[in-house]
Amino acid sequence: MKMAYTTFLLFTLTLMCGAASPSLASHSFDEHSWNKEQTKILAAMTLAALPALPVDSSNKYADNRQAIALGKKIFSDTRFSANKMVSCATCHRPDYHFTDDLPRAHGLAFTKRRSMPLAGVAFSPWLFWDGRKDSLWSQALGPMESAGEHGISRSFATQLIRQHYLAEYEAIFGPFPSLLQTHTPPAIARPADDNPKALALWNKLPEEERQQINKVYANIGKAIGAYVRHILPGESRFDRYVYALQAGDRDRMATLLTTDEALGLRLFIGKAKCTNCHNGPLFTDFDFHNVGVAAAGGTGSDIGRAEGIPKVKADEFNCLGPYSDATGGGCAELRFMNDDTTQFMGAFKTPSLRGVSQRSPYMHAGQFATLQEVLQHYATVKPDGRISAALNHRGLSTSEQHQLVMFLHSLDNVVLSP
Amino acid sequence: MRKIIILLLSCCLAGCLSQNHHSGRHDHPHFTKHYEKSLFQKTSGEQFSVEMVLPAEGFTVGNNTVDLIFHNRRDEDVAQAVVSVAQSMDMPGHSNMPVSTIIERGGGLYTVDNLNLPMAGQWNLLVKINKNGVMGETTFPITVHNKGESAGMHKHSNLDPTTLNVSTTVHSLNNLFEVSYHPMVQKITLNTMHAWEVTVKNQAGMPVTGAKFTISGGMPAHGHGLPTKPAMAKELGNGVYLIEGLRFSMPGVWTIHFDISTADNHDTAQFNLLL
Repeated sequence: MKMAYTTFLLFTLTLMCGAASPSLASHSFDEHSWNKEQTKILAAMTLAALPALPVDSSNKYADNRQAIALGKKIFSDTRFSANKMVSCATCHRPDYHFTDDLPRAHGLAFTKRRSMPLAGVAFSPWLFWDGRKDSLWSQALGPMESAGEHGISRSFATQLIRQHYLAEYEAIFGPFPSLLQTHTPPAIARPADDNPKALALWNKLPEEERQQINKVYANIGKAIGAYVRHILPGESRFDRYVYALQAGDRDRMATLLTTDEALGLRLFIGKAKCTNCHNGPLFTDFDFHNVGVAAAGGTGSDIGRAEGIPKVKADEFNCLGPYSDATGGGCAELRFMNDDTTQFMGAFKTPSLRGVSQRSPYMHAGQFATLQEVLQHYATVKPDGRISAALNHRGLSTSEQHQLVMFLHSLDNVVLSP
Repeated sequence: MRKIIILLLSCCLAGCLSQNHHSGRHDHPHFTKHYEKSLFQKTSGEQFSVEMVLPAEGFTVGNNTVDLIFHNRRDEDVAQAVVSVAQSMDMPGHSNMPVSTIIERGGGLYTVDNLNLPMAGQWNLLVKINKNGVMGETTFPITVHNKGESAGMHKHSNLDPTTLNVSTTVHSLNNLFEVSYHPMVQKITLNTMHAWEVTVKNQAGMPVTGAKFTISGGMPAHGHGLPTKPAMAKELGNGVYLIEGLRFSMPGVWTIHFDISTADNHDTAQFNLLL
């Protein structure tokens, strides 16, 4: 009896899967046919719809060619680390979509989160998974002084500039402070909250010297930020597919996306509701969501954006701070930031999906090794008071999950950088 | 067949137990539920009963006030007991929760004030009592909603995109103001920070000046608020106000509430937007 029931169940399941299978579905309609409304949605997701780089009012060197060139050099200069082996490029590998292939970033030690990819990052109002920085230049300064990443101090970084990049620095930012030419501050001096000795040495420095160090340090960030700002996603098959759709070239469309990929795209903008969060030309809403992923082993709990909010507010290198170039009227994101931490417990920034299949692993602490695992998570995660209702993707069959993964491959690209 | 035997056996056992209970009649507790709209539980050891009267709108994110009523085994009010409450969630990172204030009101009633529940979801409320060394405890599973969500969901029942009222001029809920908005961009697009000019008129159609605004909103279907915290930046005169800091991050139905206060009046206007 039991055996017969199991057989019946398997038969029913087979039937159900069959109904959703691409081979059957593809006979009933043309997967490359899109209505007017769908075409409009797809066009808004192409790189052609990406606006010009947003103005960074806090960094007046953001589009300065010399600053971009200097930033590029510092980006991969391992002298800016305690063991002379770590640079920005260690975790943001230019050959790996400016991220790395580790679940959690490793500079001098493992950090608690995954390195973020950088293509198109200039469009994001908030940086890091928890948005604890509000500009690229300010973001670049964080890892330098983080004990587990570069592990150096701002004092030491300014001396590296004096020794190795003085002419380039002065050509962009003007004279290097004379005080820092004649006096070398203690190499570890920084306003550290994790190193009492470094903090004591920092506090011992005269106020004027501290300000000058901060200024040069901010300028280092501004050069790196100028470089990173121009790292952009290259065109993908998806873009070319939509351009062919707009041109009415059905034959070309069929050469650009396979049946499964096109069906996956249909799910992406339709039933699967992926565009709830992954919308626009960069496939992100730049917002923060709790997606119900369990904390990674060994990292403890991580409240994400809820801890990023107070940090960005208190940051001396934020848009409203003394080292920002913004004048009145700027810094709208920071001034009008939703600072209700209770809404953002365990929430992390929505990453872009461009090039996503080329840069595993996934989620804020690399909890998933493959896109299949990510889709499986989204197909089963149940929204509740904590997990955003925007995440309601339940009921996606295995074959639909597969089609979505296939579609994500059509976003493969080459990252463009200066 | 086996199930029937188990069922019969269970009935027999239950019968025996209840018999035992009756035989020990002297010690049988007389717990009764006194409040209609309360959660009723007995403490471990069955020394006390606890009734929890919930806040009117249920538990919401932030500080809550809740009443606890204790009775002993003889159904007498428990006065002058030491009562404590600890809130927890089945996820890490909530070990050091703020402590609530507990005030004894008399008649076995203890009011728990400042019960802080920092996020929506399922919580456990551990209630402990110690009356002259006799102790008991019990846990109430509770659901915490975002503010305005449980009540607000009904209010937003007609948010069908096809029939949604997306008018840029509305009357406030109590009809005290006519409010209209004009975005300072050609078209409201996703993820573009922008400002609105908001015009407020009174019932006579005259401009309302000196108004203060509290702005909230979100996506009712998704249960989340606004990605930013818009605010009135400037009164432009003639009943027109500049509201800055608006940005919408998702396609779908959004609502924006303008809580408008003047020296004499206070009312709320709601706009719906479909992105």
